[in-house]
Amino acid sequence: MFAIGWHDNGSVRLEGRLDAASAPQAREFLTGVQGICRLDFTRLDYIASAGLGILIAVQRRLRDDGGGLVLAGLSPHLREVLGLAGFEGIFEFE
Amino acid sequence: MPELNVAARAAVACLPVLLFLASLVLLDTFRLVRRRRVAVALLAGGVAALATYFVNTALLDVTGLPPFRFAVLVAPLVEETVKGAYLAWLITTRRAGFLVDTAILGFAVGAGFAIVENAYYLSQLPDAPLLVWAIRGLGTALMHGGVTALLGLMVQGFGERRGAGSGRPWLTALLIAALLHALFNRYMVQPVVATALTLAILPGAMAVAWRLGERRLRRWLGRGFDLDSELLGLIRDGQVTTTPVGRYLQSLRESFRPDVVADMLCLLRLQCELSLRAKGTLLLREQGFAPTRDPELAAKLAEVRWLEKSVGHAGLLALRPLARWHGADAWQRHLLEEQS
Repeated sequence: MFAIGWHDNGSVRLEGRLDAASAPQAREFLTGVQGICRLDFTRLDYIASAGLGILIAVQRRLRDDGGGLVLAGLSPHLREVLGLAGFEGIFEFE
Repeated sequence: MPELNVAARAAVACLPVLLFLASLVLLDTFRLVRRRRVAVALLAGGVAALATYFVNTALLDVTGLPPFRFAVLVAPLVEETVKGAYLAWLITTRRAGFLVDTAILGFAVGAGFAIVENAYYLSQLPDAPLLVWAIRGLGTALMHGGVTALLGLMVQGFGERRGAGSGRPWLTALLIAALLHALFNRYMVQPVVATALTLAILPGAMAVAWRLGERRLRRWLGRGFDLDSELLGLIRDGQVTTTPVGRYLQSLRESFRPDVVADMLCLLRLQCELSLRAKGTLLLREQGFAPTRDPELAAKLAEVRWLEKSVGHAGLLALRPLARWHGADAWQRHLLEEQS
């Protein structure tokens, strides 16, 4: 089960499993974000490469407009995977 | 203005194949092939053309066949074999691991071959009409590139079941490539028709190969990234012993010394880390990003080589069901070595 929506503090909250099946839902939601956008991963249990691909594409679009994604609340494992994959300089981490 | 005429003829004979090659490089979404590698493949094709010239000249004398029959019956097999040699090295050493990079490098070898061949004919027939060079540029040159690309594509396609290193896919692909080349040469009695057919078939065939290649690559990328990430998590959390992977490693303790099994686990972890790096690079390249430089990359690759030596051939064979570093995945090592 995957859910994505706006948090009261203005960040985007992701919940559950962001895999290939739920990736279109995430893509559709993130198409609408602008500027600097904070993504809260605290309640996200799992993210597959399909989800990461969407984040990279959104980051490309936002960066071209002077904005960007800030990834917050990542599990130590996901943080390590993103670092190993070479995404350190691409996203801002919080 | 004879110089201008020669330049125009050379442009007509060589530019179409180079433009087609450039369009293939630009269509490579994941930038699998660096421009330097394309240049080397072009050079290899040129060397193949020179080698073929001497082999064909000798065989023409030995067989005593009239030139046209020789061009249909013997030359295509000789030329495809010699052009395919460099491609064979690229594929068997996993420097070309996918349909897309194989098609680009194969086409580049064929293009290099065609350019040297056309340069030779330009020197021999400087006064031939422009139409001859248009046919050689749009027909013969594109045929050389297309057939060599197809040879590589067939090897990668057939090799998925049998392994690209085995001989049978190569023999089948070589015979089909030589047959297509021979058909082109056979119909050169109607050169405009042969050229028109090449122009009609080649772009469509390449488009199909491209679509198939990118779909396969995306599937490999997605599945591989997720598997590597999951396995790394299990190893890191010390939970691997409760999984089928862990149980398999435990079973290896009956056949290998404990220190070797420990090295196997280290190798598995390092391979996961490096696989994630390689696949992350492709995910980023697709969106036009360059990955951040990893200062430890060269040391990690050296560590993999040391661990492979320590584990030994038997250990690597035992690790094959788990390892993420053979088959198409072996290509990743070359990508990372380019970065380190």
